[in-house]
Amino acid sequence: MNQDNSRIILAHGNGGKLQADLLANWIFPEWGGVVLPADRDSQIMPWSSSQLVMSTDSFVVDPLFFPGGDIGHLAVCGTTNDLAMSGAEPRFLMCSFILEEGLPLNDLRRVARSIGQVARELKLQIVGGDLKVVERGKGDGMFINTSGVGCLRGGKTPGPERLRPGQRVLVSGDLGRHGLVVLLSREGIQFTSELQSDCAPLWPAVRALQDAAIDLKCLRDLTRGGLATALHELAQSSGQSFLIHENHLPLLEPARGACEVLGIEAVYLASEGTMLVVVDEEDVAPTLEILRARSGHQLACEIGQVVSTNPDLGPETRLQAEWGAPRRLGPLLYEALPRIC
Amino acid sequence: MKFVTEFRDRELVEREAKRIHQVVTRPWRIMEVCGGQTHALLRYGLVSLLPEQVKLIHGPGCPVCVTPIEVLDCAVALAEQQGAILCSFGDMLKIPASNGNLFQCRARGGDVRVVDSPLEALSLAQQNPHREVVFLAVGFETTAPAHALAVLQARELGLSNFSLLVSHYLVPPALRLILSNPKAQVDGFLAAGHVCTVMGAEEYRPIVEEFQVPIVVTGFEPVDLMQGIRMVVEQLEAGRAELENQYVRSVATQGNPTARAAIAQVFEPIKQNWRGLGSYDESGLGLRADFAHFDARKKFNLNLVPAAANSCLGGDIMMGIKKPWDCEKFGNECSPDHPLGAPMVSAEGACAAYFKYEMTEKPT
Repeated sequence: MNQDNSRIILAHGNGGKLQADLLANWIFPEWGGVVLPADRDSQIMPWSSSQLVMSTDSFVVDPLFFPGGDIGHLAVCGTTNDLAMSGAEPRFLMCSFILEEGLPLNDLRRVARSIGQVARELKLQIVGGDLKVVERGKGDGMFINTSGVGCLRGGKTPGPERLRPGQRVLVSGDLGRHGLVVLLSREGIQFTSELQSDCAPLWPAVRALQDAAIDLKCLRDLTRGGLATALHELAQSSGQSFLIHENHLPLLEPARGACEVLGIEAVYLASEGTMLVVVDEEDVAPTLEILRARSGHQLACEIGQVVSTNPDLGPETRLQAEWGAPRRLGPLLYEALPRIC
Repeated sequence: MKFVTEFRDRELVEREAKRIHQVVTRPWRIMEVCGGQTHALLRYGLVSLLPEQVKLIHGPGCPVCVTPIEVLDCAVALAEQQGAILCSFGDMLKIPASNGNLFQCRARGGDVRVVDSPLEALSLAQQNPHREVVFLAVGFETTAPAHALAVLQARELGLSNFSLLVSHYLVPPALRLILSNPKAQVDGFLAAGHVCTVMGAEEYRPIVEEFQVPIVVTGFEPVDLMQGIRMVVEQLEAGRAELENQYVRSVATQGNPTARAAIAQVFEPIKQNWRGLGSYDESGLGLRADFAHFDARKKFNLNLVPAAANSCLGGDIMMGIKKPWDCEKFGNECSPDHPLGAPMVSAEGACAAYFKYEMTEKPT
């Protein structure tokens, strides 16, 4: 009898022999070099830091593979970036898969490989996870959930409560590439082959800034909803306002062109390897110098500042174009793109 | 960026604005026909550069705004009761129909898909031979050629499970309608550059002559818009009424002959119902009898049941009789995250644009 052994079947999720083989043959080898602790139902980990930081995120991106990354890459970057935005060093990761019956095993291996690569780069321990299989038609190939634990390294913790008028708003790179790449690959629109997702871990850049004793007032990754939504949320939680200069926003030329053609505003597009950095004026130059020296952050620049809130209007973000009055930027309302992360 | 930044050049925009200030001697009301122009005028703050005497009226050129609720009700019925795959451009999904919008229809189990092109709907029909695929074909002369091509291709492929729910509109009849309404008081028009890219500009000449009104075919970038306004104001101040073309880089006299031929082959002018404005002879496009089997209304025997009228002032706003801020619900009960009427739904609708750019109160 012919057997197709190249795809996920329901029995891979039953917790028995097939599942153990799947993990042992298709996933764990790709995580080689990543420390996997003893097999048990829950993990016991060494902990000495006084403050622990946790974050979790689920990933349902369609398509699973896109120029510049894949769902696995995204799943590690997304969660560890959230830890890094609190100034925390990512230490441990839990990684759970929900697979759809019929998924090619090679796709699973590619995704596992991406996860392993980022984990090694970050010296991140994958301490556990889960794997379930759902019937064909009940999933979308693969969903991943990751939960991360990190520790604070000392120094002041960045956060919206530390925002004050006069502080400078920087971005660590060009905007909107991930959102655009996913949209273009899903819709099969090909503008140019050079546009790749910016998906990347942000912790190395944050650590470099911490090592240089930059006082990071606030960090925020620019994921779903993009820059506009991130600023809106920060304004709401801090009570401060922002003034951003439209012609300072870094965008790659193909991205700018794609936005024009599709009628999308780049400030609403997601990035997965670009963050907002708020610092005092005197820290702008060293911050940009450190960021620009790093791969993926060469286009880091100052885009605006924190300003005091007009009590009649409440906390808000305004975008100053080359002329005219600055216009208000609201949060993303309807997703232009069905699922991007 | 080539062919974009040049048309956003601040100096050129200011030079045009200065010229308008120099020539204007009395109040003029100028209508930009297309919602895309409305959006650009507000986005780039162009209105604030104009002299007080020049008032812009935001016209009916937003397909989302003029499509009647009953068409959306049909779309919902096709997805929910007929089990069809209902394909639509994204913007249409947000418009409230009688029983929620198409997003809510999808959440209830209706198979509603967002597509970027009618050809994508055609591929869906090929991939799903046992299901009916209906494309919600709305728009003006700009979207009509692609819709016509989809029908022609479907015929060539012999597809019997593909059809269009058509709600197509024509711009020239809308201008006649506005000019015939004594309350509307429009002195000149910026015609929509992309519509004329397809159709050419000549069909506006009879309107210019009959109503003695200047019409300038205008593009969508700040320099285009400012130049178009300047050309209309110059005509008005000189007592001229002519058809002029600002958008020469895109609009040829005869338009796009291939696109026009496709439209003419597949569609014919019909009496059309404009949301908020009423029904008018030959103001829209319907499928010709030869293509009746691609007409979802005939295929599924759909009756357009007039939906209960709501209190939206959209019709008066699109005629230039009222401004969004004249509506008591504007910005209160009615906002982009909770639209009560079509002009608040589409990003190009006048109300959504006024809300986004905070023009929520009448300037004092």
